[in-house]
Amino acid sequence: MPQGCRIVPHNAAVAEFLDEVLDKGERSVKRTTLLLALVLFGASPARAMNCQDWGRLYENEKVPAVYGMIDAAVAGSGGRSMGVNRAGIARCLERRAQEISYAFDDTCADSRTARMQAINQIFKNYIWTCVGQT
Amino acid sequence: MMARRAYRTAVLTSLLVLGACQTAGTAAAPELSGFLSDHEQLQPGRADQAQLIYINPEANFAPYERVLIEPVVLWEPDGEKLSDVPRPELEQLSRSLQESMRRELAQEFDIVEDPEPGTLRLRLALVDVERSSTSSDAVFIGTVSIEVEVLDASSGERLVAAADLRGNHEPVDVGKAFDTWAARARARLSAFRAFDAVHAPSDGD
Repeated sequence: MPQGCRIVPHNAAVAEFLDEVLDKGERSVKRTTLLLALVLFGASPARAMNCQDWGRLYENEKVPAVYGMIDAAVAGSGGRSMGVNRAGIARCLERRAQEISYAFDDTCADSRTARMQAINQIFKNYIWTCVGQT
Repeated sequence: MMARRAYRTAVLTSLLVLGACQTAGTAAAPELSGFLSDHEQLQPGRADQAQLIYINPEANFAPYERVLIEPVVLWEPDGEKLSDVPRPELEQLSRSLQESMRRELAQEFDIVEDPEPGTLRLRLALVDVERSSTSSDAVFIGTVSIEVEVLDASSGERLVAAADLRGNHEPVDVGKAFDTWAARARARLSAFRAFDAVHAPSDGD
């Protein structure tokens, strides 16, 4: 495990909290959960999630983790501006969050495709698609 | 488990329906021309059968601050003619595509003429241009296909490659098509940079 990556998903109290706030289904609440999820799986800057990390997440932590990735892609500080409909891209990715989560599951379950950067590549493919649809 | 199965069935069904609709309205996946060197890497893009894409799984876009845009190539391998469209019009098209890319990417990157560390190199070619059979207006083209790749300007490592086609014999406003391609290129690179600033692949993975 590279330095600076803390995987601490097995926290029942936090998981219960995640369940509770996700049930409310509000976007702002999802934002809170994704921040929590980032803390849970320790996605520190300059650190990609790999299949090992993904496999350690509980089911109810996976979609919030995907929301964290979406947030990074559309609201991150890496770029100066996106130039197209940022909110539309976010909505497109959010609509697919469950599908993305299953795609990660499928890829990580197949040892032939579970390369270290498979999750990163799959997510960028979804970004590519959503930019093309907005 | 049942819910997940039902969800997957629904997703699969919607993809099939959407795929069918898109096949009717847009083009089939473009044939590659040879401008891009490594064809095998390119795969059909999700939910858009007109595109072939490759995204390097190891690529970290976060450090790139500059882009070097090579002149748009009118791709005519082995002296084969690119199009029946007159040469001056083709050259105008290539300049127009170059300008669209430059205008959009300048809002995300510093445009440079020489490679420095942290520079992307954009290679771009018009590989197919056909006149519209239903419009004589030069603004409208029947088919226009591009191939593009983004490399690390220093190492030459391929980061992204793509092929796309517009029109498929239906008149397409070529200026708008170029602006759309350029805006999407900027948006994708911008999102990749932002994503990698948080989730960058690292050597230790």
